[in-house]
Amino acid sequence: MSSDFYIASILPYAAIIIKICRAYTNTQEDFEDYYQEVCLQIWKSRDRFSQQSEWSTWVYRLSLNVCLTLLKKKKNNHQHFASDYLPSEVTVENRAFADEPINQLYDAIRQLSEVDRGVILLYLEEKSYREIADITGTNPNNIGVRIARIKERLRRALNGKVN
Amino acid sequence: MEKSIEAIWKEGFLQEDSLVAPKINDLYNQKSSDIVDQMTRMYRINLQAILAFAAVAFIASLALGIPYSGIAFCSLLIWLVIPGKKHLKNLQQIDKNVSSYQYLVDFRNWREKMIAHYSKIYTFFYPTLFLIMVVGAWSNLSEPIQAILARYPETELVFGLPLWGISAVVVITCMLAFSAGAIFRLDLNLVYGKVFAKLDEIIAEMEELRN
Repeated sequence: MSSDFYIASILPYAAIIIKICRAYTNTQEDFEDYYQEVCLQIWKSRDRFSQQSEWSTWVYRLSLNVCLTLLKKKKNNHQHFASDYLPSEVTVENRAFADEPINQLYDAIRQLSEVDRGVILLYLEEKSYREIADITGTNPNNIGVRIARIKERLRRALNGKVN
Repeated sequence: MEKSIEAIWKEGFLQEDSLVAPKINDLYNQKSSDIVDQMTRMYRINLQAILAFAAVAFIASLALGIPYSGIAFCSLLIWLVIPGKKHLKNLQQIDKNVSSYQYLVDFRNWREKMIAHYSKIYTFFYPTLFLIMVVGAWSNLSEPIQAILARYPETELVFGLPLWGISAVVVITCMLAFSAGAIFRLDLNLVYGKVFAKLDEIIAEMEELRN
């Protein structure tokens, strides 16, 4: 892959890819594999990008599609991304992943079905119901009800620590 | 004070810089784990292997002095490769730049078409392969077979062939034709069963969300 393409077209949107890949993986090793695969598929599919949607929406769409169909064997140990998985050069101040509430939320998200994970991630990224339906290919009228159910499930998984 | 899910999410990623992207090395030369890419690779290797095997079989048939069996066998294998190339092309055309539902449905449609087509092909492929082997064996071993038959003059013959032999060939041919599709599906499920099941599950859930 051309490093120019990675720096210009992927890296600014790495946050999107990271957030999605983390929801579909349990370990740092799997996460890195998924991240690489998404980047590779973005590179391979870049000619098919039409200007009809924004690049960021396209990255969401492609990342989700890749994560839904990856053949990589998932590890069975449900260890969340604790600080020991973080690269050593990451400083304490930068450790958003080591932050407990977000880790707990990710753990709860990982317990959802593949489809629900995609829906809630897009919702948390403040995508409209219309956009969520467009990216996933579902009916926008059903998205609101589904999100309410997912949030209820997440609240239960978090033992009511959230409102 | 308790926080909302949305607040936890936002606060968790307040510093976007903290989302450390993993280092990627030599990415473009890495093997993809994507199901479409994997199927494409498997398909291409299969087709190349069949062609190579056809060439080897033909050369071997010439060396063994059974060119007609060799030609028949090669033709049969090439018949297997031609639709494979078409399916490979269709597989490569599956677009990831569509909604998740459409992408998964496109892949499922490809899978179903491919399975249905190959099930039909194998229904004829296995029995024909068996018959080529039988005819080849009969034409090359006719003398020793005739010698054996001469020892059992009471054997019932039809067009000079033992009735029990013809019956066995017919039964085996029918069994191969009958079970070919199932064998192919079983073979495919052994390798991709879990992924296919997962895809069907996701599609079913998405259809629920569409209706």
